[in-house]
Amino acid sequence: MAALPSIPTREAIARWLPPTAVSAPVVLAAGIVFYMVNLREAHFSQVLQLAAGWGCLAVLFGMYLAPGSRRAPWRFVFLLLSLYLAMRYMWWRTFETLIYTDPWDFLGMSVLFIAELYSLAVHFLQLFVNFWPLERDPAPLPADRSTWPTVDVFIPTYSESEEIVRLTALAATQIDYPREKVRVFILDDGGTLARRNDPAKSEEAWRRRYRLKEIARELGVEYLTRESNRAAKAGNINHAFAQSDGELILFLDCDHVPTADILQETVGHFLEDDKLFLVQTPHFFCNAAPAERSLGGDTPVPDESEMFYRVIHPGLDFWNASYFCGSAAILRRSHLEEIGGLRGASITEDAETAFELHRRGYRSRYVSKPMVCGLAAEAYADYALQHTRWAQGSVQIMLLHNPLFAKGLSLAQRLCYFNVCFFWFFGIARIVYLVAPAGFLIFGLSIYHASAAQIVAYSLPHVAATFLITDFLFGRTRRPFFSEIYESIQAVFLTPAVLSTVRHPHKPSFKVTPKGIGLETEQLNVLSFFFFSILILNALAASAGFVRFYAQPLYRDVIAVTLVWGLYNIYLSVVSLGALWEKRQSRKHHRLIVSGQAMVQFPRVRQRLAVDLIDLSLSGLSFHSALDFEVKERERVVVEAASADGLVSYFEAEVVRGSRRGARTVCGARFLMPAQSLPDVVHYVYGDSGRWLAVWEARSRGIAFWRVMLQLVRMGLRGAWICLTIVLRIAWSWIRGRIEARTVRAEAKA
Amino acid sequence: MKKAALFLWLALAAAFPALADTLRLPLSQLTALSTLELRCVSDQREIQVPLPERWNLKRLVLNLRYTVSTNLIPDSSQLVIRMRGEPVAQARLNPLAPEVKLGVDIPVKLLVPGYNALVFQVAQHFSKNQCESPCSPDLWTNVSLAESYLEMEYDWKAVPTELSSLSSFVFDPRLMPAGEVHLVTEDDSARSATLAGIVASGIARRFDYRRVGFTVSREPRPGVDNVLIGKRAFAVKVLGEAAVRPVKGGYLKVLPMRTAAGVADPTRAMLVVTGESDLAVKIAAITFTNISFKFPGTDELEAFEFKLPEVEQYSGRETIRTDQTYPLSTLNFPTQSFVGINPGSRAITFRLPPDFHIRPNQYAKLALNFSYGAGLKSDSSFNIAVNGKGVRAVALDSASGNFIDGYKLDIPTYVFQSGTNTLSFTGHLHAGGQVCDLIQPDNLFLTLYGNSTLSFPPMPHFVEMPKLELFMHSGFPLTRWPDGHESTVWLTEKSDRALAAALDLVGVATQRNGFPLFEIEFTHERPKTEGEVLVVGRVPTVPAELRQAAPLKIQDGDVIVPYPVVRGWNAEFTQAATSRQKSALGTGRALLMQFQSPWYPGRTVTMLTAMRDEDLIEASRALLTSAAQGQTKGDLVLIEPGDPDPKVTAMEAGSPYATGKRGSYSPLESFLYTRPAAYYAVSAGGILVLAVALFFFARRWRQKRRKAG
Repeated sequence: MAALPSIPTREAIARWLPPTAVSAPVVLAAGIVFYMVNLREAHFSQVLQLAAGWGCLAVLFGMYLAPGSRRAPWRFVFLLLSLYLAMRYMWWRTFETLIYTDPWDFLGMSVLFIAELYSLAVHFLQLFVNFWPLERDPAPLPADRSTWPTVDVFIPTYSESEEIVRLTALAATQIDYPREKVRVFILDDGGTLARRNDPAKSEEAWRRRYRLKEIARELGVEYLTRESNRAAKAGNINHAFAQSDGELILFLDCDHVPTADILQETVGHFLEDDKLFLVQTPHFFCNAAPAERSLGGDTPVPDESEMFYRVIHPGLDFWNASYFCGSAAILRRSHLEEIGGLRGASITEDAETAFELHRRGYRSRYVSKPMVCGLAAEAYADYALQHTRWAQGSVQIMLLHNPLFAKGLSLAQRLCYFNVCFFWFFGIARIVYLVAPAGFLIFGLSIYHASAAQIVAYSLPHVAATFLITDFLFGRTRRPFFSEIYESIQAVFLTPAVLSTVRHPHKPSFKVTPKGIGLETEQLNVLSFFFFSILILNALAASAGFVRFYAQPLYRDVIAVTLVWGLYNIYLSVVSLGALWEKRQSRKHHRLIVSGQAMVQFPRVRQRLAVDLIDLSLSGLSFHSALDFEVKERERVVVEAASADGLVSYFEAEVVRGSRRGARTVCGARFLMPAQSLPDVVHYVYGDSGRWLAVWEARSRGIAFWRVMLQLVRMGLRGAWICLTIVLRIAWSWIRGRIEARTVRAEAKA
Repeated sequence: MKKAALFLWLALAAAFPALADTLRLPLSQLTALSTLELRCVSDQREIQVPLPERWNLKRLVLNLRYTVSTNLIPDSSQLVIRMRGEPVAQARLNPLAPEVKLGVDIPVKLLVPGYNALVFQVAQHFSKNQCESPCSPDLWTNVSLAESYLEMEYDWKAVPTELSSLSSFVFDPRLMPAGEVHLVTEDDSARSATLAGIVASGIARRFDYRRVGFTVSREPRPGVDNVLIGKRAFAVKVLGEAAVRPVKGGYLKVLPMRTAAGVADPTRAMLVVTGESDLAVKIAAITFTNISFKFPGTDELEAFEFKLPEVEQYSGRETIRTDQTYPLSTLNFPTQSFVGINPGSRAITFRLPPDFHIRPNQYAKLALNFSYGAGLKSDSSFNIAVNGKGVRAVALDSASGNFIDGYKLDIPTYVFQSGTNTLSFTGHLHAGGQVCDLIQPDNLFLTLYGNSTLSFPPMPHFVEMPKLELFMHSGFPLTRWPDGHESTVWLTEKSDRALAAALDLVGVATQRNGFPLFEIEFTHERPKTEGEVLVVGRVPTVPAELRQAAPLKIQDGDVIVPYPVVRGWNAEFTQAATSRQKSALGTGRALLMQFQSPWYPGRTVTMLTAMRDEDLIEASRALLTSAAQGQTKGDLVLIEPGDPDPKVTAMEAGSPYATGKRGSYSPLESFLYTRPAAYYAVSAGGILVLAVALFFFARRWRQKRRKAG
């Protein structure tokens, strides 16, 4: 006789359902809303459907403009209203527009519908994840320092330059924490025994090993390497894990320079909660990724990762689903030991490790304060490599661990992890959207059975609401339309990578993202080929659309809508081409736009003045001040730099440029750095997390809508100019070829 | 001797003029056209003149009233009238006497039983020995359909004593002006009424669109065709032992009627539908309703079983299904040619289920195969229209002619309507060359092949009720199941006249849907099962709950009457004031109302009520006329029978509700579907409540997360 299924325990039910989800009002109200959406409005007159769609949108827009709408409970009204519009659209799309006409139409219709379903699912998941991002209060450490836990700092490295490692290790030694309770480890995977014995890599491996050991000795930190490179970064860390004993471990990528307060801001959380396994902090980048560099123009643009670290991750934290991002995070050794260190089934060992510990009921927190400063990938190739690894690793987790049905996770955690993994399929949907208008306009496939009135009543309010909600949630960290451009660009390289992972989930291997490698020349990235194809396809589609518009008057409304879609795709392609124009990037140390004051001594005129900082880097700074004397080139100055902890350092510098702007003088100065003052400079430049916070705020400062639109137009023009340049170049090379050939023929004849 | 015989014949003819019946039939009753205009240099129009098989036509006179264009030249303009191809009259079209009355005696030998084509053909010109445009606006002749009529003198043939004659001879759709049948029932029970309903439905179906009225009693009625329905004992009691032999199964027999004096009247039939048991009678009734061709050749049959085909919802006369592709030939549109300069239109008439919810994003697909001749002028075209609205003009612009296979046209479904639709094709074939060139019209042809196809996409069933017009279009909702399954006729009293009125309405529903209502049940009590209900009875006998639910509430103490105050352009927004008063419906009038069942939400009650029996029957007869049917709409119709046409006042006064394929929606669904403001208010309320509820949940969770876990 088959055993009866056991009755789930109260704990099991509680794990599955959020604590108050069983409360009647939520269930009842959710039931009512679902019931109403499910009833649908198809039976009402079109005027009513139209009024409902745009009425909802008008309310959303009103709330979007209203000052208090981002605060609860209005925030929830906003989210639910946008959810309602999306569900209304999805129900309409599913029950009213899926009509079989013929096999090819059906195929096209199915592909588009699946792409839309995917987008809507991701949209719903995003609304859930960003339901109410958590802002945490600081968790101060107790006054008795002897009770503070010991911390190991792991700096894994593989092929990055030794200077980058030195900088990070140096900053690690300056972390504000009892010296005896911190051990810093450089985990060198570039100098392993296997590499040293490999004839092709031996010389470089030996050289790297000696150099890094020397740096370690110089800084008083420990150098560790291992026999082989098995299990890549996870293996490297696990090797060090076995040879260290700190209660907590701070993980730092070798280009992530920590601020002095990183442990002060995080370790206290571990003392508050025994079941806490992770405190993750944001990754802050001092340089712009390639797309931002191309798109940003003169205005500082929020970093691509800011949306994740400033909004999404606090959202994940609300649901106890903040996960390990590989660096700038502190983990508790005892909990890690339970699972044998970092997990390595996927190439995103960090997320996989957090997933496993969440499954075991441990908790995580997120402190939304940037306390490391890192380097973003400089070139598109590196950018693609990095994003491909994230995408492949996330897809691996989805396929190998299936977060939706993983035991031990709460329902919210399941949805959050699923969102993290599922998100990476966006490339496929994006390509479908780029190609779809051509299906109808060129090939006449009926893939979207909707009248213009229905599109206006359902599709447009939903699309507009999506833009509104995106800006509502992420507006501080992502400019309008930038997500579209980022996704379009990433779609090109992520789609094949994701599909290949789906086919062979165990195949992807860990590849280190090269950092600190500049670009010598400006160039159009090879990915642009794809956008040229999309541009041509949509241009053909638009031409066909204009012909159809006059030839098929019965379809004019649908043709007009598809035509607009095609033109939008053309715009997106053109802007993407503009973004794929890689700018030259040869600066040794990246300059950061900062604010604040410093004191500068001008020995030549015997003056000591307060100046306003403009930018700052490891090699120098710019400032402006109302000077009543002329600054000379190569003039020596002394910068009095007061760190956040009150420590004042004096750096000698020389003026490299000086110019007057109105009543103020703008100066650029280069530090004259003897080796012994490097720690002070590092401490001043990188030691203050408040500085990175200020940079974040400066980047996210809202700009006027017209300026955003202007920027978008400029981006379009730039893309168009690039297209034109390329077409002219091709035309010129063809003409030149013809002329040369003719000349050669004439000469031969002569 | 010959002279004496002739004298005697003339004397007899003068002495018995009443032996022959005379019918005066306006042409407007023979065609759906509103006008008959003959245009261009050459044109012709056709009207089908029906001749019932049981008529012995003595004389036929066409009294024509027409108007000609004053620009015509009489010498070369002429009207020819043909009956079945034979010219029976011709007249000059004289502009000096543009209003013409013409009497044409049509030889009766030209007509045959069935439909006879009466053709009006013109050749007309406005210039002599000069060039003229072949389709100049000056070239027209208009025949007044309302003022032209046929005068028919006829007597009745003897009814053949064959059961098969029922389908074409007795219950003949060509019988004018209307059919009348008397039903002899065994008693006034619901069982007898149900059997009478099945028989009446079968008779109405035979009469096709020809209106037919029923009367009911326990005895035969001389002078009309009779049907006796009941067990054998009853048949023996009425007709005698000799008329009905002992049988085992159901039994059908056709006999000549008898006059009041008991003399045989061979011109009228008595059909006996009987059997030893109720079941046998029912089998006989169903068998009768299905005898649709000339079999059997005997005057009686004994029926033991009748297997009905699988009946699907929404099937019925000329109804298009959404999962089929129809060749036009199956829609009564065989391969047809449009020939000449003014070849006119051809149309397909079909029906869509009355509760189809027509969505704006769906398209019917029409794939046409056609060919056309060479030498057409480039502005020649082939126009396609749906319900009179043009949807495409296909250019016939190949000078050498063409054969086009699979010309695909997607027609938005919103140009169609639930119920009857017409898809028409019109050729505009123009000859090439200059005005003065000799026109060669023989090459002007377009042939549309019957293998062209029409298909409809799947469409949902949803309709906002009440809508009496749907009852008149297709008997909806009684005919949602075409055989009347789930439908009941509730007679609120045991009255032959009320039953006759109900049978008239059952007949209307059957004729509109084209399927006999085998499954419809008659009852004198409240129906016990869920379904659609047709209530017929005098006001005092109608249960109070129904009177309360009706849009015009005639209660015991007082009456609540909705009076229209404002009627917008869209009748949906009619505003009515309600008056509570002590009054009564009065006599000489009846009410037809439709409303939601007070017991089964989403189900419909259609109710015909009046103060007197005779008003009920008069109203039901009035509802058989196309004039009354055309005006019946909304949920409250006041019928005042009159001659020639009844007076009908229709309005919307009750509460709306929704219905669909399932038959009904829940009360909540129905409420929300018919009140959009409530729908959106509940949605908005739900969102607000959910937001607040989530806020309290989230706040607790957030506090917990900020502390320890």
